[in-house]
Amino acid sequence: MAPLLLFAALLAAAASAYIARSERQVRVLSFTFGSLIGLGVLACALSALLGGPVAPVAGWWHADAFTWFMAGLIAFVYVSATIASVRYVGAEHHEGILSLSQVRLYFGLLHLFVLTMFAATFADNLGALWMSLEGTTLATTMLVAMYRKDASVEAAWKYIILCSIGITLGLLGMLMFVHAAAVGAGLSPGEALSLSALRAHASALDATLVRWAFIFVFIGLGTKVGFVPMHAWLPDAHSKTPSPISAMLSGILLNVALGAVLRFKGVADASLGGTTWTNGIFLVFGLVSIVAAALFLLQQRNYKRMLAYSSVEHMGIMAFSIGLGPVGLLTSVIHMIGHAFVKPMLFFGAGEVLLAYKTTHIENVRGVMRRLPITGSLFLAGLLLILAVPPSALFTSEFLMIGVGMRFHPGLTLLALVSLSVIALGMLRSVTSMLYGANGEKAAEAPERWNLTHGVMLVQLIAAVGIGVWAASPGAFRLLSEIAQSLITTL
Amino acid sequence: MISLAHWNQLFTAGLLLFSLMLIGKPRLPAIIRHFALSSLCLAGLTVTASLLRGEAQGLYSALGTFAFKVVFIPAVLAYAAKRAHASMQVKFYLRPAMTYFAVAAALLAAYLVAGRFATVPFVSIALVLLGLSLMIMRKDLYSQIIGFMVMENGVAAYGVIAVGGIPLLVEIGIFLTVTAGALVMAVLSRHVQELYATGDTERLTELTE
Amino acid sequence: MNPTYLIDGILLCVAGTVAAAVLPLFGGGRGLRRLTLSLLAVATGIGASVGIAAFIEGMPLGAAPAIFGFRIAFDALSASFFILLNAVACVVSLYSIAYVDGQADAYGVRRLDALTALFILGMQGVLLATTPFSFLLSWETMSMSSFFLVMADKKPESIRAGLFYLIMTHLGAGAILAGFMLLSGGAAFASFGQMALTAQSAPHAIVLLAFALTFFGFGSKAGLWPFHLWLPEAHPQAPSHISALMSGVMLKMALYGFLRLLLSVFPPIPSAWTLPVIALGLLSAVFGALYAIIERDFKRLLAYSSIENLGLMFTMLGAAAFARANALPALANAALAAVVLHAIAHAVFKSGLFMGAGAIVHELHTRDLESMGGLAKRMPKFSGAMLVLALGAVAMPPFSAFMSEWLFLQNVVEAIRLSAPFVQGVLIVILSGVAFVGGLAIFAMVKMFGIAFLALPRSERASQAEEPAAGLSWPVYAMAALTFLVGLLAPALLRAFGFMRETDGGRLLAGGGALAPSSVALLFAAIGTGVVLARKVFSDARRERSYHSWDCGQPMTEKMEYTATAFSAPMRFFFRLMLHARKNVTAIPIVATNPWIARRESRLEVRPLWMEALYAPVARAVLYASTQARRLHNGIIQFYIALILVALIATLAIAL
Repeated sequence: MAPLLLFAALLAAAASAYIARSERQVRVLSFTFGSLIGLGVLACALSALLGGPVAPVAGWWHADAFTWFMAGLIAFVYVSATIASVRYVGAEHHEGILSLSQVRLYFGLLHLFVLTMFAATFADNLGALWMSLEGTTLATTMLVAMYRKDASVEAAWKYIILCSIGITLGLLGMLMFVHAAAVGAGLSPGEALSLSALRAHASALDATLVRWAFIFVFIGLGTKVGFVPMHAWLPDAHSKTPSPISAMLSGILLNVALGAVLRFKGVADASLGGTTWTNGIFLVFGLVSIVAAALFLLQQRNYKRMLAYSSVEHMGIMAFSIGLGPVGLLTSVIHMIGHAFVKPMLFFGAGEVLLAYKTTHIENVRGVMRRLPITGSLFLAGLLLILAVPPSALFTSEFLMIGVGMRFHPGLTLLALVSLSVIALGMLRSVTSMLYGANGEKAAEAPERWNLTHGVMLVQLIAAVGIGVWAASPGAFRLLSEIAQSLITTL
Repeated sequence: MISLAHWNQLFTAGLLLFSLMLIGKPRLPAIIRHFALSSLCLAGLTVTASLLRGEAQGLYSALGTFAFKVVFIPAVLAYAAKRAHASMQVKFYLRPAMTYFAVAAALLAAYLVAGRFATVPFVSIALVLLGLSLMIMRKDLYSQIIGFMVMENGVAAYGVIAVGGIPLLVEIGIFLTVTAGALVMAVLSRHVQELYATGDTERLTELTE
Repeated sequence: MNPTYLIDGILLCVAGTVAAAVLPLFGGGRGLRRLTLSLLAVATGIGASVGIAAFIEGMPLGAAPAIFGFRIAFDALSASFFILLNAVACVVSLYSIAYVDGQADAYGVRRLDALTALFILGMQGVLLATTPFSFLLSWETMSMSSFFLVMADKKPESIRAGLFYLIMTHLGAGAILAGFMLLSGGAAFASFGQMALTAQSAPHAIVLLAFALTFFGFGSKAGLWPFHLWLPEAHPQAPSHISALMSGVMLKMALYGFLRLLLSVFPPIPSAWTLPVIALGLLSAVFGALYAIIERDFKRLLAYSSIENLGLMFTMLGAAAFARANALPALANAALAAVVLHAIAHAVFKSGLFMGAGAIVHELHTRDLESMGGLAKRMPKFSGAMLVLALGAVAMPPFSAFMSEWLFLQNVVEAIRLSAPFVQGVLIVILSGVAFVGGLAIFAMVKMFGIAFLALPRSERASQAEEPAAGLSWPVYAMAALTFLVGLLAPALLRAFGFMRETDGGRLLAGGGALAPSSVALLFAAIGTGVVLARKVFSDARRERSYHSWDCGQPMTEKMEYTATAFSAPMRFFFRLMLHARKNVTAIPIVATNPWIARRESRLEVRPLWMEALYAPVARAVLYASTQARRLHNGIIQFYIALILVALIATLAIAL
């Protein structure tokens, strides 16, 4: 019943946005709910991960190491995004960009969005999984369209249409899995609509149907993960959303969708009796995403789109690592942590820049280091971490990935390496021109003051570095491989 | 006396036929009406298929289909379109002949797919592909919503024909989610109409690289 | 016996460097800055002493200790580079106390100091690493901090240079990583020793690929032709003490990495693989020297000279590997010894020259040789030190670089006698190439010294230049002294480093020949004293009259002087096919009726051939691909849906 309790708490949080009377109250209540719930889940997740085996929850929900790992990540991003929202939405409200009703909608949907992500993580029932995945789209669509400007509505439209198509294809794939289970293992549809049941009877499923089903699931949910070429909605949506929501979309929602795909990969692998086939798909889409992201990042003109493409790249890296086998899976787990810590931080920083400059065009943003020294420094640090400069956690994961990659697929890995260099060049070129360029900017008004968002960014920075150092230790290795193992064996 | 199996085939054919007809319709109300009709056939199919299986719960499911997909969603779409004074005439990317050619290709593809598996129903694959091609070929917002709903019908048909007997709670959850999706799309389409004074997606091409 | 103080010393050195990297976070006050840099100097000083002590103790670090879980290693090779790094870094950090104070308005001082310490830390890590992971970790730390150091003044041209450097170093690091991983068979945390074991049994093709990748990675970092283009952009753009570190030390890290792989990881490599190393080494040396000759920017000239020297080192390295593959152990050992000796020599004189350039640029506010001149009169002591360093750079006896080149060439000559025809051919090419480069290097350094220090000042500032402040000048003196000392102590150093086992007394041996640096030094001292004495004795001081030069009654002006451009004209003429340098003279008549009275402006354009032949097409292709890819985002949602459909169908078609 633990998940249901969590959902109830999140519903209450969402409701609080409409109960509160003033804009300030909305923010304070959301802050309180957000940090309490988030820290609570984080504590549960940590105790479950560190305290040994977790009892799987019965019914529609289940919990294993990977679930708790994902829940912990969601909780972390949730807390940080809520805190950053308190500052960001407050500032936009004071400037008259967002009305009170929009603020209510914002926080209400924020909590609902987190609820759907938790649900998607804990879901064992395929129906629940599908509903919550579609729910993530629905909850965020109006957030993407928040500003009611031309481009944001356009982005929201593309977002909901493309993601809904993806999710519908995914549902078809899931039903094919159920169908295969009903035919092959003689399960009733009610029984077969469960990941654990599918997993348990995997060997009885018809291999051809399972392949079809997996491809539908992969392409469908892959649309939500943002694999190229199904990614077209991603840069639009992530760049038009209020920055804290962009942070959640990029930092964790993509991971949640990828987690769902991984669950089905587990089923398909067990059914096909080997990982070669699914790994091939992951490898190809991962590599295509990395290369395409490099090409898109080389001449990027919009810094929020830049961050969005960087997410495409990192999803590609995760998929590529997953495609490399068990060690790669472990690598992608480290990569997920690193990405979930660093990418939100960058979006928070982008939000601060946006608040100050009122534009997302790189060419119109110059001299951030002088005007916003704190944001600029933190943003630069985050950028270096996302580019896998040591001591980032991403350095560890990319290092391991290349290690495994050179062993199995040297050619593809070299291509990925070159793309990573191009990405580093493209992103650093854009960001250095933003940070240091001098284009007739006015004398700095008031010096930038330390604010909540900076605090959050600093914590994320330290966490990302800490994880990077920790991930190389033997204890971490055990825990991480346990998480990765849970995707392969238990369910 | 027409047997249950005949009804079953009839509804399946209707489901596909109305969806096919909807592709060629140039006027929005007609499109919505055809969608409602094809959903009605889906509801009927749900009943007959579950009766053929000897289950009773298909009835509730059919009721849900009727309530949401035959009545509610078409009504919402028609209302939203009317409120926004959407032009009732929709535009195509392709000329009619090409449109039908594409549809034929989609059907052929679905036939090939279904031919590989005895148990995968032709109609659902065809509907998914038809929905997708509808979304690709048409230029207006409402056709995209309808296209999505047609795809959704195809998936539902898969559930009804191939799988069958999905628990009611899950069914209802899926209905609610789909309806919520349609609602959000309708609301969003209103925003688009307000901002651009048109329901044409050609105007929604600002976000490029 | 296992003296733990060595380990403690290494830990202390690393910890001090870390502390120096962290300290600037707490404030940018002058006192704290001095404390930071002094701490850095002390830490690196300790590091250098530990390295020396390790040699004295006979390298007893059997059980390698661990820092943050990373085991460290210390053998003759890494210890000698460790001494090199820390000694240079120590002097440079003392130099930077005064230097950065004078440039505080151009740079963010706190960030600069922290990055400098981080940069040094990265290089220390490279030398201490025992696994690919810690090696790459440190390597990236070194590369990224130096990237930020290159663009420390935030000028657009610095940022451009920095980004060019970044892409090259990133590609290089990727290649190194890929090569390591090929050798280790994917085991990410294997040590170099284990890597060597896996590499023994690896297929030939894999080893070849790994060799090519690591050669590209290290070669591009070392500035080997044709991957050197970033170097003359990046090194001069950095603050001068960083240029000193980058040219003097960072390039050696690339050399070290490749040496480490060749000596302790790669299985014996076939003779054919070493030919590209030798060829690229020689080409770099030749092109580096040629460009140094035509370059008019003081620091860029030094950067090209670094390319030349690294080219020589890679030639020696390639020759060592070549000799080993062809069963010429004497040459192999001697060439290795020469590489290490030359690395040390180059580190000393090049960092000295860069620090000197920094002091001069600080004084004159320009890097253009054409605006210098006459500095020898204005700053005689400093110019003397620079002369010593320049002589060191052209491998004049008795300075250090001479010893390494002599050792190498003498052994090559010796080996030519003993070997088969093909090997002989290669060795003769090496011999003539190195000799040719030596000549070119002399030309470049004569130009540098002559134009910058001799004759009349060419600018207002040059005519008012003063001796640099003590903080700026004595590190240069120290390097000048070291250039001499390293030469003098070369045999002892090589014996201590274990590269020269069979030495007798203080002499370098080469086959039948031997050379005692001390006697060379004595000889030169004797000649010098003789000349001075002879002048005293034979010249008649009473009849000597000191007066300004006679120019037919006209006043002498700096306009009459030989310019740097003119000085290099013969070289541009001889090598015009290779250099593609173009001089444009435009004459603008002053008096409309008389075309002879005109104001002439000449501009020298150097278009590197390979920039157009190699880099530009690649850049164009990538940009074209990027532009095409961006067209996928045309904003039309129907197209996006079609993409999903296509992806679905394609996956179904291919995967099933």
